[in-house]
Amino acid sequence: MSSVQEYVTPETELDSLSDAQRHALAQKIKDEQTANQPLISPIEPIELLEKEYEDNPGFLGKIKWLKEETRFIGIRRARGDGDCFYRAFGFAFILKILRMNDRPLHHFVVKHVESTLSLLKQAGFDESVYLDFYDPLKKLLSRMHSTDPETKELNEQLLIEAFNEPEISNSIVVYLRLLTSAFLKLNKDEYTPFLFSLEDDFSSGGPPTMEQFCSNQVEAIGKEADHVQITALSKALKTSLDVAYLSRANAPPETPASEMLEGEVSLGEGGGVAIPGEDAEARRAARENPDRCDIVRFEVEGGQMMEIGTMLLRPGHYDLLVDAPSPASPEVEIPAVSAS
Amino acid sequence: MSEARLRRVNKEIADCQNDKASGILIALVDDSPFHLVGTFPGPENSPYEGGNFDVDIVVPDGYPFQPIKMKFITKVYHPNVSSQSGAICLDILKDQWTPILTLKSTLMSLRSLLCSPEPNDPQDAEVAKHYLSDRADFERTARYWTEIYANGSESARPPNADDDAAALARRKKGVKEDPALVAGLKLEHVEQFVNMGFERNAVIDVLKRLNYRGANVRNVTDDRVVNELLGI
Repeated sequence: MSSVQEYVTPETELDSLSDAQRHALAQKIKDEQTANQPLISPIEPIELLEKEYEDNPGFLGKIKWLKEETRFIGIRRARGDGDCFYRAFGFAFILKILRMNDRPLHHFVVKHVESTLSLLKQAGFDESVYLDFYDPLKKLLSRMHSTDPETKELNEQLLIEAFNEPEISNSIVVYLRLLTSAFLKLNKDEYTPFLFSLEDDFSSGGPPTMEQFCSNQVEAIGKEADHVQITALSKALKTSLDVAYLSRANAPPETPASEMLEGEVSLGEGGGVAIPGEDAEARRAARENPDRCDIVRFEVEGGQMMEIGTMLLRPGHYDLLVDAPSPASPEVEIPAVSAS
Repeated sequence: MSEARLRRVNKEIADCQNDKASGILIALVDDSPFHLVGTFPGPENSPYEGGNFDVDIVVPDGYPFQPIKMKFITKVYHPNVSSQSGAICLDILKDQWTPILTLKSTLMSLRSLLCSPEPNDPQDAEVAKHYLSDRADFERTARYWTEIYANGSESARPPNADDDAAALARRKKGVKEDPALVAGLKLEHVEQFVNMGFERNAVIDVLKRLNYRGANVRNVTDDRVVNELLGI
């Protein structure tokens, strides 16, 4: 196979390249852009995110909102390779079990994760292939509360290291993809109505079948997760999570000045009727704040095993948000302090 | 690089070798299990029936998290295969790759691609044009290519030896390919312009470019062909 360098020079017209060459070029650019990013980063203070969007008032306002109105103080980035949702999910999932430090819960989680293997089998995946991807997840989970003196107990630092080993990290991503796919296929009556045709991938028009959707959008490496996939994985692992949407799309439309009638009092500062109670006031302010971030909850109704916190979604990319430590969990890292 | 990759590839090679029913063969090019040649029989009820198709396979460092690289060694007349380089346009070899695909299942997908071309996402635009303008005529040429290029192939061979070996097999059989037929053109069409005094290869080039094939012939006037030949 010829490498990209052989046919692309600064003078090359993009139109002159074949489909395969264009794909190789796009892949190479993507690889170059992301190769230096860790697969899962250490916690960074949320202020770094503000700096990133210095010149983007729309986004900046929402980040400030996240910082001031919610309890998020940091961000843990996942590499922007299209696998970020699954990688961040896998990491947050194991981290949560680690932090809860609760032997019966750990035992319950291990049993449940093991039981998901049968979903993959029922969905028709080849056991000899998917067991390879399950193995690294199982191994990490077995490094907690182990009775075997030879086992090296997992801690946060070792977990970050493991998630930056491509072999381990990618295997877990693949297992979560297959589990998502299996869950969707086994519940296709419920989920098929939610499949929307994606213009780029389904030129034939009309929504895809569940089989097509799963092979094109779930099992394929590098394909980002959307609402349907998140719901499925959350249910399959009995794990709730929140997703904060950082995008311009959900900002309320600006009211054109011409529509304001003379003498009309605009709602906002000093306007509106005061709602008694500080808390209600704060909630009202948050609702009316144009910088408010939509936070969507993926709640497992009945039988929830745990919740793994909040992901930050920017168009096409997921990262993990880090809560301020609450008095109940004093062991949480505080990046602002450790940074100096 | 990783042990897991080596273990998986070796297992997949063994799987193919143990499975006689699929008709898929895998052979090592040298000592490395990461450079292989796969061979499969052309699908029945297709212009590729009766041929054996060799595919060059490279297992990348990131396998199975990166797609296997495959291209045809055997020349194939198909909209999604480059008639020059053997490069393949197939989604699972690009952005639809999933790590549950194996050497065998990927070769099977390649085989079914032969039965169901996607002319709207072509690798070879000329062949796709031929396919879209006259399906029966396209199939005639595809069958001719199968006969000429894919019959001499008996088993998996390293890519470099292929050209010589296939040519040798053809010479033995006394078959010599005609560039006009290889290009999907009718001999009488080519002769018609050769008789006007033009060089045969130039005629073939121009007729190929103008898609002077099957039902499309009536859309291309003689004047147009002559002008092209004269470089006007």
